[in-house]
Amino acid sequence: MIDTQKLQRYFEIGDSCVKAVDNVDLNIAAGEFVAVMGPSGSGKSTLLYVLGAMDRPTAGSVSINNRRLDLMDDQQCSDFRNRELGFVFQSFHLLPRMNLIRNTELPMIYAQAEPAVRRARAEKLLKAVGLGDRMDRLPTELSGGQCQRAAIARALVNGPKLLLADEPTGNLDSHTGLEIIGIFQALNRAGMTVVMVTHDENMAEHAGRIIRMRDGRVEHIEKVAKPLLSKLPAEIENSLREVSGAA
Amino acid sequence: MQLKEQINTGLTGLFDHPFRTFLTMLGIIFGVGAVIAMVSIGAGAEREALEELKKFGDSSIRVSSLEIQGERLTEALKKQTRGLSLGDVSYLLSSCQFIDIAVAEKIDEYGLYVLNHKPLVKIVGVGDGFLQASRFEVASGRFFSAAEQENAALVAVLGAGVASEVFGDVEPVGQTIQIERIRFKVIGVMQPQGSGSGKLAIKRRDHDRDVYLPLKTSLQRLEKWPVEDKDQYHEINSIWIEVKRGYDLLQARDIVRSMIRRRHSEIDDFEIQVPLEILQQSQKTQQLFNLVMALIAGISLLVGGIGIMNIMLASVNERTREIGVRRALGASKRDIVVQFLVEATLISILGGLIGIVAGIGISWLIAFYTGWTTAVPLSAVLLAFFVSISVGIIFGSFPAAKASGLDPVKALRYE
Ligand SMILES: Nc1ncnc2c1ncn2[C@@H]1O[C@H](COP(=O)(O)OP(=O)(O)OP(=O)(O)O)[C@@H](O)[C@H]1O
Ligand SMILES: [Mg+2]
Repeated sequence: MIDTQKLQRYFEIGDSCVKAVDNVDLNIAAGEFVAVMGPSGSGKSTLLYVLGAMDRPTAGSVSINNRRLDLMDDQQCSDFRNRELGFVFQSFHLLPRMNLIRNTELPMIYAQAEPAVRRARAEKLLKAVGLGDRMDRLPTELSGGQCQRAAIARALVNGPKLLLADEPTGNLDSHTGLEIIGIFQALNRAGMTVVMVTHDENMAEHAGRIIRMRDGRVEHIEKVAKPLLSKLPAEIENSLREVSGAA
Repeated sequence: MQLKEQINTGLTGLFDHPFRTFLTMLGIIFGVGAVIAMVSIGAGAEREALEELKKFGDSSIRVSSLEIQGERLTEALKKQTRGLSLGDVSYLLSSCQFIDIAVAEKIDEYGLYVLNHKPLVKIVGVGDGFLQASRFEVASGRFFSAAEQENAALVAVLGAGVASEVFGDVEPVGQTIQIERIRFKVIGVMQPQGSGSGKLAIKRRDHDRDVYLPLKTSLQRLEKWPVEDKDQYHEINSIWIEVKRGYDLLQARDIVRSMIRRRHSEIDDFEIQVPLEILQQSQKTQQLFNLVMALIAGISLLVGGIGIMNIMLASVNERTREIGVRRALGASKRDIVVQFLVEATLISILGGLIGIVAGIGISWLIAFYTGWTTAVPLSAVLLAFFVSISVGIIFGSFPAAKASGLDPVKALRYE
């Protein structure tokens, strides 16, 4: 699914050059759940943004589903982000003045979906992540865990096959964090490819593979022998499986 | 993203900060409002002038006698000229083929007595064709017949003001009035002409206080016009001239002027007014007024536009993170450009609409308190509307370009 070759993302600042991502060769198969770990500044976020068509590599190639992101123009990148993948961020990044429904609908608006279709789909997703009773609330009225679940609903709304998460549990307590990981695992079981940046070894142990980075390079890739399991109630598991397909 | 959604998004954005949005609009509101109000005054003046011209006619020339003093009077006495006279009228009629009608008017200040009233009036003797040349209309009864003119009949037609003051509800036609111990039969009452002068500087007395007599009646019965006045030297006050269609009015005026001057031994004891020319001059003034107005409008819209740009730039700054989020979710550069352009344009359109309403309101207030005629032309409203849209687009494009040029990752990480 994800394939990078000699991927570089350098930042030129004056005379110095920060090698945020340096010659990374990655291969992630469809249906994998991968954790990316590494010290602060090792280039995890930068890598994730490049994989997510938000940022462009300065050299090397990156392809997702055999499509070369490094060769796309702005419009193509935008469409790609919109339809082919979903982002989940540490600080949720919900728009503060919109209720959960409208936040969740947002990617569908850019996909030209009809209002009625949008609304139905957003409601379905919010219900699936357990926010059926909070759909018309503003993000400021919700807990961190609830916000992150809404953000996941938003990421899934256009039915992507790839989920990119940058420290999705970083702002949450470990219990709530595990709930989020549980959702990722459930989605992963339903066929979703998940790449998650995390600082938390315990969270990373829930993934199938851990990529360890240092100074922009992949230092080590290890297979998790026996991934930990974060169990969700059966009905949430079911509804997540149901909605994780195409829109 | 469809435009409808963009407009929805924009409106939501505006109503998130209603007060700020309103303040941003103020520049446009004032600009458009002032323009609409000023245009309405200008258009009202124009309409009034046109109505005035309709009253005077676009083929009229008025020759009026002027009082002369000092050196000129001495010269006039030396040359034995006698001012505007009946002779001038018949001379003009016989020698200028472009003249359709030329009517003499003789004004006197005799006292009028009727039913114990002694109203302030002007006794006006007018020649044949007066009704046509003056464009006045008779409200009831009739005007003098040619026979009454010829026979110096003792008949009178009252101005509307005199009629209502003297007779009130009584029908004046058929009544008798007395001027200088002579009794006249009232045969008609004129339509009210309205007093005072309009926006045009066309001299005009209060015709509603006129009492009209046939010219010959006024000269023979009241003035004791000598029958032996073969040269028709008798002085009159003015001549109403109608020029035939197809002749140049100003050229006609010049010919009339030079002819009368020659007859008056080159003494300027008269003046000539051409209402059409005065109207054209007032239109020139109007054009200057319009130019100044356009300049003011331009400046205030410029200021309004800069205000919009300022707020939009602040808004882009404030919403950098939002821009990053939207980009991450699939908004293209174009989507972001359109979002901010739509927002700026909504501000200016809304401001423009409020300004148009305010301007119309102001023009009503002006009309109400000053009594001026005001008119809001549809073209001005449409122009104001489209200028508002353009101001939004023009001054919104820089902030919009700035917003869309943001690096999505940096925008997302922006604190
Ligand atoms: N826009 C930028 N301009 C210059 N340098 C940058 C930019 N973005 C990132 N960097 C640098 O690239 C390096 C990698 O940054 P990145 O954010 O990817 O690290 P990270 O692994 O996500 O760190 P953390 O765990 O703290 O989030 C850092 O040294 C950072 O300073
Ligand atoms: Mg990071």
